Amino acid sequence: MSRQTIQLLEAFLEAPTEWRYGYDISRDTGLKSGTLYPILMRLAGHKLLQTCWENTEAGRPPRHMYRLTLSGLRLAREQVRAHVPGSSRRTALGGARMSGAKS
Amino acid sequence: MKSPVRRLAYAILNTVVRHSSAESRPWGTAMLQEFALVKDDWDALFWALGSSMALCRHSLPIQLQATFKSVVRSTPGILAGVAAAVVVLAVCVTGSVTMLNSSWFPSLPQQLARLLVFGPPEIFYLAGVVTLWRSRKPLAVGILLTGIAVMSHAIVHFATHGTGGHN
Repeated sequence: MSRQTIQLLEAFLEAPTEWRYGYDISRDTGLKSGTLYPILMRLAGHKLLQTCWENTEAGRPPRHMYRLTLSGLRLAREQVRAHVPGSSRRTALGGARMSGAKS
Repeated sequence: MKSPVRRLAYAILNTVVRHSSAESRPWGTAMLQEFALVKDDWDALFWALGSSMALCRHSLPIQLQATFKSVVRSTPGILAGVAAAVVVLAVCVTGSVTMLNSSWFPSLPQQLARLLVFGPPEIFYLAGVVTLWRSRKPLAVGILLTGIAVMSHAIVHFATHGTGGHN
């Protein structure tokens, strides 16, 4: 998974149940439209992203909104965890402690 | 008052959205709605350009696939049209040549004789294309392509053989 996709998934994980607008995501992540929308389209195509049009008052054109699906959230958590710097070393060293121990 | 940069940006994105595939158009519309919120004109231009590229990359494969499917579906009809046109050509040419060579038919100048050979098939082709265009377009296209090929051959023939004597 690309660095930009991970960046986008991290942004969604900050507020997993909230609907987000395209331009707001672009501003928060720094991803330009030419990078952002292909990722959004791909996620939607794989049913990892929900899309819908906002309900607006008459006269104002509706904006498209995005939110991760349950599968998308699961994948996002896995991918973000896997891509956190040093996470593979922590997993190797602390694997025994993490795997079943309850504190 | 919108700046020329913003107007250009909007025109580019709007054009791409209008020509995109049906599957891609909701994404294009979404990009256009967000465009209105970009405050800086140059940022708006980059938003439009980036969005246009993304939309083209999404839409083109879908449109090419649809065109390919349409061509594949039309090919048997086009081939049938070509075959029908070739049969008409063979019948007309045979009939014209037989008539021109018969003793009861008056002797004609060579140019007129050639016209008598090539003319009738072209008239049949034109009638066929006009009749079949709406109901059986691939068939009409096949006939049209053959008609164009025959016409081109006739023009080249007349041009290279010049005005001749009697047949």
